[in-house]
Amino acid sequence: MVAIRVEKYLEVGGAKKQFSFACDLEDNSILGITGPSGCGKTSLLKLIAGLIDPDFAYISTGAEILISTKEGIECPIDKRSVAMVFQDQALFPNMTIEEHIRFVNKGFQKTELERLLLRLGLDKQRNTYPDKLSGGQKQRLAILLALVSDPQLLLLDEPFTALDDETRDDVLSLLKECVELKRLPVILVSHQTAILQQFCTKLIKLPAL
Amino acid sequence: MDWSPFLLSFKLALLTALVLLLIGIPLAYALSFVNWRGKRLVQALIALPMVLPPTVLGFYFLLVFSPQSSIGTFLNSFFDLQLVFSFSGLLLGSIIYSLPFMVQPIQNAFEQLPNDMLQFARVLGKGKWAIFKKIILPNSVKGIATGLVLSFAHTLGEFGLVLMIGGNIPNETRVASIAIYESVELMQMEQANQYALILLLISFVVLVFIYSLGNNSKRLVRW
Repeated sequence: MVAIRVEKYLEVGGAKKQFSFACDLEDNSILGITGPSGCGKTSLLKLIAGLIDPDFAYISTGAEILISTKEGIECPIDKRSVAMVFQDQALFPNMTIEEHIRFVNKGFQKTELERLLLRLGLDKQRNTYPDKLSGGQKQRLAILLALVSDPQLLLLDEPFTALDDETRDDVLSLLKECVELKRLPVILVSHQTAILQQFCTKLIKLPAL
Repeated sequence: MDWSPFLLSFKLALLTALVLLLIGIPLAYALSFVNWRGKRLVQALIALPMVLPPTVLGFYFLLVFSPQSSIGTFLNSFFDLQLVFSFSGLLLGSIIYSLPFMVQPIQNAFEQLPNDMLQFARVLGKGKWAIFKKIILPNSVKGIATGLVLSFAHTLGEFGLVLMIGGNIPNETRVASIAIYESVELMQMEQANQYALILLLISFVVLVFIYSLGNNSKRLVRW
């Protein structure tokens, strides 16, 4: 079970507005988050990942507390086991697909990796650099890297914007599989409410700030 | 032609560039990625040689390290080191003088790396040292190469500072730019021309190299 309580004053249009979010998430569930532009969707993911300092936060995954401002506990970003996929597929220009994977998890099981590469349609591009990949391929690689990092919680920020319908459905079914097999909780931010409704266990619509 | 001033210039420029590489990368990292008090002050101090006449730097160097000063006396008696009118003094002066030419290109390269890319690596569980080695450094190669070449070329063309702190001692401080000045003073214009032409060519080649490091693909975009 993942417990999330965060509060933060966010700057919106030059004014500071309070953002607060509270939610509990079962291990094998997918939480969809939607809402109008600027309502704090991406900021929420960054607060959970530790990329933004909260004013108040209590986040725990299972047995581990990631942050508790009240108790003065804060787990470093790289030790949180919270993987996040960014909207703009922030890949590493100096690495091929295979080098990306080796960088993230040197010991990742080879057969499982081959299966994932094949599943995401990246098996023929393993020696390709990001600048030679299409937007959809970059997006799939970013998701693959997040899965390979063996997270306890997966955060996805608008992961379907660069994907065509068919690839999107493929990625969705892979995510669903990971959720069920690894009991991996996922938080998915998207403005495509129809997809979230169809795919997520729970859907939260954030109000405008 | 006497090649010793060139050999000395090359030795000085090479050592300066190598020492600056070791100092420049951590300094650029601290300026780009770490928040600390006094950062702006240090940034201004590093950039100072770009606007300061070299003679001013040379003058204070003389003042601080002359055998009459307390620091000069201390270095001389404890380490048997004399920095004024010696190659080691010239090296220290060149390092200070060329520091911005190494730090600024590397700092620019570091600051141009997308924040999302570094954050993505962090949330994939990678530590800061691994990110520095595997992502920051390899993606800043052009900035590092520019810093190396610029500080090498800048040291090669140094004159005012060398004259102030090194003088004109053959094989010790008589570098190429000093040799040109001396040849002109002695009215040996042909020799001065030879020296000057070589320095001109080297500077030109260095600049061509730096420009060729840039991304030319922008020119191909139609607009």
